[in-house]
Formats: sequence, C-alpha cells, structure tokens
Amino acid sequence: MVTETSLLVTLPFLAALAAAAAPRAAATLGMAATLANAGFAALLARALLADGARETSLGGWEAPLGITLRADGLAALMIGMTALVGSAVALQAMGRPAPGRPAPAGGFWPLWLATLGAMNALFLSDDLFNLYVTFEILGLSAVGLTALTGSRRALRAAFDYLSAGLAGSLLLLLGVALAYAEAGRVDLAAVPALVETMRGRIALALVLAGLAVKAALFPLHFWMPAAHANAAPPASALLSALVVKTALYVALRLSLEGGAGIAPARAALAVAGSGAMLWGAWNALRAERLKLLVAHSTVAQIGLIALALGVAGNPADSTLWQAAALLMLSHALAKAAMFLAAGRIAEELGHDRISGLNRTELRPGAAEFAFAIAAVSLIGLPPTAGFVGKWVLIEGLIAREAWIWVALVMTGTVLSAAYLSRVVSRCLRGGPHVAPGARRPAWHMGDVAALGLAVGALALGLASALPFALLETTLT
Amino acid sequence: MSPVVLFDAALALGVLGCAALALTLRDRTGTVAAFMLTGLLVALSWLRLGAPDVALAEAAIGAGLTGALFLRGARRLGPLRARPPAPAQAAAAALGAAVLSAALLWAFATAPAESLYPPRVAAALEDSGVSNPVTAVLLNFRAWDTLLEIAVLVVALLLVMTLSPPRVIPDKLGALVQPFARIVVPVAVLVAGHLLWQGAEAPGGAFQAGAVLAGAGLALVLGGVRVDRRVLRRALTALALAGLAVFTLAALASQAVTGALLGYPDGQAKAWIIAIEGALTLSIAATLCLLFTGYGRRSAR
Repeated sequence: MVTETSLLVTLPFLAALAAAAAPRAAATLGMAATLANAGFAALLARALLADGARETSLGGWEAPLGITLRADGLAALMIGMTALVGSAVALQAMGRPAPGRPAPAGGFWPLWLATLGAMNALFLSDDLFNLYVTFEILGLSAVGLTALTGSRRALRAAFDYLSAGLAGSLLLLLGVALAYAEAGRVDLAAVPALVETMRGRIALALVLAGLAVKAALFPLHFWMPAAHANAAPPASALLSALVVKTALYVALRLSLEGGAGIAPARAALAVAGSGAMLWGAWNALRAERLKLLVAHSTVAQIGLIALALGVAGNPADSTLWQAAALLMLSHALAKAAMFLAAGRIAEELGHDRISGLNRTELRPGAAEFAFAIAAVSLIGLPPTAGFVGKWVLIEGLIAREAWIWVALVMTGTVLSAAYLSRVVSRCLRGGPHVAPGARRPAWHMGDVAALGLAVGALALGLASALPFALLETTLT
Repeated sequence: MSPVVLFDAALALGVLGCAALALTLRDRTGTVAAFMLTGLLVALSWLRLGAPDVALAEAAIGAGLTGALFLRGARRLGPLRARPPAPAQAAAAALGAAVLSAALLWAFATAPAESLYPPRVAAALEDSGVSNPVTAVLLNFRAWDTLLEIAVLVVALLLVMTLSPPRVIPDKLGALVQPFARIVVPVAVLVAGHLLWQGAEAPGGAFQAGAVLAGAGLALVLGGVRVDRRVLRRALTALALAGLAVFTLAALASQAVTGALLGYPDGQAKAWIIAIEGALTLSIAATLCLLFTGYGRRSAR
C-alpha cells in the first residue's frame, strides 16, 4: 500500500516534471500538487499523533545497508510548516505570473515543486549521504528561484548563492566521506559513535560548517541578504522562510542524535548565533531598502534559532530544543508573510525605499497590516507563535540561571523591535499624513496570502499545544 | 622503487600540476583544457584505486561533458580579467586551506583500513538481483539516493530552461567532422548499450552509458544536426524528463506490489533494475545534450 510518507517524497517530483512538460498547465498542476501535499502533511501529522513515530526501510533494506525514512514529530512539524508556507506562497504566485520579464511561462512552478519534494525528503531522511543529495537538489532549485526575475542583480546574487552553496556542499560531502571512512556507515545512528573519536569529530565539524554556510549563519551569511533581497517576492519568501531552515533542521537532528558528546558543537552554534543576532540587527537598522531589511532580519533570526539550538543542552535531559523547533516554525510563517507583504508594498509604491514608505496619496493597505502582525510575531510579543518560542527558551534559561544568554536573547529582541518599528511606524501613518482623497491599494492575491500567514503566526501562538504535542512524538 | 610506485607518484604529481595549471592559466580555453586533463588523470587514479566504475564516470562526465559545458560557457564570457585577491584575503584562504588539508590528511591517513560497509553489501548481494556490488548499491540498496540524484539532473535542466542561455549553433568544423560522426556515433551507441547491460555484473551502468550516449549526441550536434528544430527539442526534453518519472513511478509501483518503496518483487529485481536503468540511460543522455545545446530563443555561434 502506498503511504502518505512515500507520497510526500514522490508526488512533488512527479508534479514538477508535469509542470515542466506542460508549461501552460503549470500553475494549475502546481497549485493542485501543493494543496495535495498539504493534505498528506496533515494526514501524516494526524497519524503520528494517533500511533506514534514510524520508520520505513526503503526497498526493505534496513540501515546501515539501506536508507531509512524516519517520520517523527519534529519531521512532521517541519513538513507541515513547509506545506503551510508553500500553499500561501503558491496562492500568491497563482495570482499573477512571476513579475519581471516574460519568463518562460510557469518557470516558477517546476522549481518550487522540486524544492518542495527535496525539503520533504530532507525532513524525513535519516542518513547523512541522503541528506547531502537532498541539499544538492535544494541548492540548485533555490538558485533557480533566486534568478527567476532575470534581472542583472538577481543573476549576480544567484551566482554568489550558487558559489556559497557549492562550498557548503563540498564541506558537507567531505564530512560525510570522513564519517563513512570512520564508522563504515552514514545513517544518523552513526553519530553517537562519531563523537567518540577525533576523526569522527572532525567529520561532524565539517558537516556542521557546511550546514552553517547553507543556513547563512554568521559569519558565513555573506551571500544571503543579496540573494533574498533581489529575488521575486514568492521566491524570497520560500528561500528565507523555508530553505535556510533545512540546514538548521539538520543541525538540530545532529544535536539530538549526538547527545552529550556533541556539546562543543552546540557551544559553537550558540556563539555564532549570538553574533548573527547582533550583526543582522545592526545591518537591518541601517538598511535603506525594505526587502534588504527583511533579509538582514533573517540573518538575525537565524542567529536566534542557532542560539536556541546551542543552549538547549543535552536533549536527553532537557526539552529546550523544542523551543528552537517552535522558533523555526514561527519564523517561517512570519518571514514568509513579511516578504510577501514587502513585495506587495513595493508593487503599490513602485519602489521599496524605507524612507519613502509614508506617501501622502496612498493609504496603508492589507499588506502593511500583514507586515505589522508578522513583525509582532518576529519580535516575540504575545500571543504570537514567536512569543511562545521565546518564552519557552527564556524560561528554560532562567531556570538554569544562564543570565548571559537571557541578556543576549533580550538584547536581540529589543534590537528586532527597533529595526522592525522603522517600517511598522511608517505603516501606521494616518491622520495628518494622509491626504483627504488618498487612494486605497486594491486587494490582491498576495495580500490574502500574506495576511493568512501573518494570522497563522498569531493563531499558532494560541494553539501552540499542537506543535508541542507533535514534538513529543519521538521514536524512542 | 618499483615501476608501479613510480607511475603512481607521477600520476599524483600530474593531478596536482594540472590542477595548479587550471587555476593559474590566464586563458579560458587553456584553463578548461587543464581542467579536462586533471579529470582524465583523476579517472586514471580511480582505476589505480580499484574503482573502475568511478573512473568511467569521472572520465565521461567529470572530464568530458563538464569540460564541454565549460568550453561552451567560456566562449560567452570573453577574455579573463585577472583580479588578484587582497594579500590579507589570500593569506586567510591559504591558512584555512592548510589547516583543512592537514586535518583531512591526518584523518584519512589514520582512518580504519577496513570499512564495515562492503561486507554488508557482499552479504546481501545475492538478493539484490545483480552481481556488481556498485550497481546493487546504486539501484537497490540505496536506490533512493540515485532517484534523488536524477532529480538533481532534472533541476539542472530546469535551470537551463528557465534562464535560457543562448542556443549553441557550432561553427563549421571542416570536412572531417561528418565522416568522424558517422563512425563515432554508431560505435558510441553500441558501447552505451554494452555498458548498460554489463552494469549488472561488471563496471558500467546508467550514468556511464548515458554519458557515452550524450557524447554521441554532441558529435551529432558538432556534425551539423540542428537541435533547434522544435520537434526534436520537445522530444529530447520529454525524454530527459521521462527518466525521473519512470524511476518515481516504478518506486510507487513497487510499493503497491511489495509494500516497500523501491522494494522490488522477489526474483524480479534484475528486470526492474535493467528497465529503470534503460530509462535513465536515455534520459541522462538527453539531459546532458540539452544542457549543452540550451533552450534560448537567441542563438550564438
């Protein structure tokens, strides 16, 4: 019998092929496949909550000879996140053909569907080499999404992205090769053995360095702001909300598998994360363009998630890592909403300079509203999902009396409030700033998608019991 | 010193020397030539390391087709403008590379000589349907990796479709090209078929066969076959996309039959593997050809 797990990892690829073969029907096919994928993601989550986590040996060959797909709560949560954000972004892309030049009809859809398939495969993978292959698909399809507008800047950013991604892949592959040489196996169950020896630790360090490049973790984030700021809005939303999360997810997996032995790597993550939080915030404060601000805020938020991963401690005796997972989820929703909203704002204004956001002849619209809600979630104000994630994190840190980390998280929060209010304060214009006959922006599919995601981030804060229940579903 | 050791030493020096040339030459064509030579020497090294499968793939794809793609790109880029890196940058890069190399050298030199994986493969080889362990791993034990790798190729093709670099219409190369193609193409088709069939029990398989077939395709392109005809291009695209479709549908079909994704029914594994590999060979060849010729509306000479 064909299971939802296997449909999650095969259907998007089949849909990508169909969309590439029939460009005229690409949007319909793509939307249908994205929605079907969301349905399977929901079915998987429901099945897991009912029957617990499950493993599937592909081809009937058990690891370490073969490859295992592991569907546990964390994987299901990430797949659900991808399905949700993907559906909203697909809705936006449906509304209008990708902006820019008359690109080959439907160029967006095959790339997005391949990205979706690769992400599902990555979240379910339980094997280092298999993870590397999924990263290869993701790396290429994400470069395609960056370059989709065909503008000179986008092409340049895409090329830098490709180079950085390849460097990351090479480090990752070197690490996997060394892990294979050391342990004779590449499934994730080899990680506890790897942390025991020096060679194994070098292998894991290489893997983590490759992941850091792919996650745009400070100080290896250099390629990211330009790539995310110059892509088309739906592509930016996918890249910033989802694709960078994949590397963080794998880092979290390694941390969960490695237990106490992987503590030095966690410490490195925490330090790099703090640096990212401060550096990203500083650049977001100085950014002149809206999309660049949002992109730099991704650097900062990635930093916060890495910090949470790093300080979570040994997962055997602390559930603090769940805060990191929830922060990933809330950032995905809020950041996708923000990029879609920023795209709509730029479309209405004709530019995306922050200094020119408050124009007197244009009233704020739904996009500004969505941006503001997303900002509330990113800053971490109640009742949003961002708040719940930060609350769990800070509560855990206070219980451990780790005051330095508490102070760092607080500083990051204040800074994010500062740079986001540069935009939000201008969105709240009204009264004397708006001329009497000011135009109201027309409604657009992009507004619906952005609002939906932003409201989702808000609602998730109220319904955060569900993700936590899902995260409790582990194999052991 | 025995001649074998001398040969190996020369090979190692040759790889390093060619790689250094590829990095330092100031002429794009020369750089690509050095790169291709490096690839061939690396292929020889694989042979010396007892990995003929990898050697075949490296020679056909790593050196041959990648080189052809580089040459195609180099013609569009114009002359190389050297921008020497800042001394601080160069020093940092050198330091990083040295530390990484030293760590890797130590790690691989002291790594356990016996790997635990090959015995596992050998123990299960009988049930895999093929007797070449490499094919058993690629198409059975870890077929899921291979499926995703085919997806990587498809995404590469999607990128070329989306970014649509100008199509290549090669210059007339002279009187000998067509006679050359007349000999080489049929031979390449035969070799590809042989590699595909032989993959079940000896080095070979879909990737190598596909690369050889693609080489035949490129010989045809250089010999003047116009790939910009719409029908031909559509057919090639369909063929290129069909590989992943067949593989994915076969995976689902196998699950419907046996209950395990990519689990072939008992006793029929070889038939499934050969069928999948056949589709992959054609698809890989079509993909590599299309990557070279491109999709753009404009054309370049």
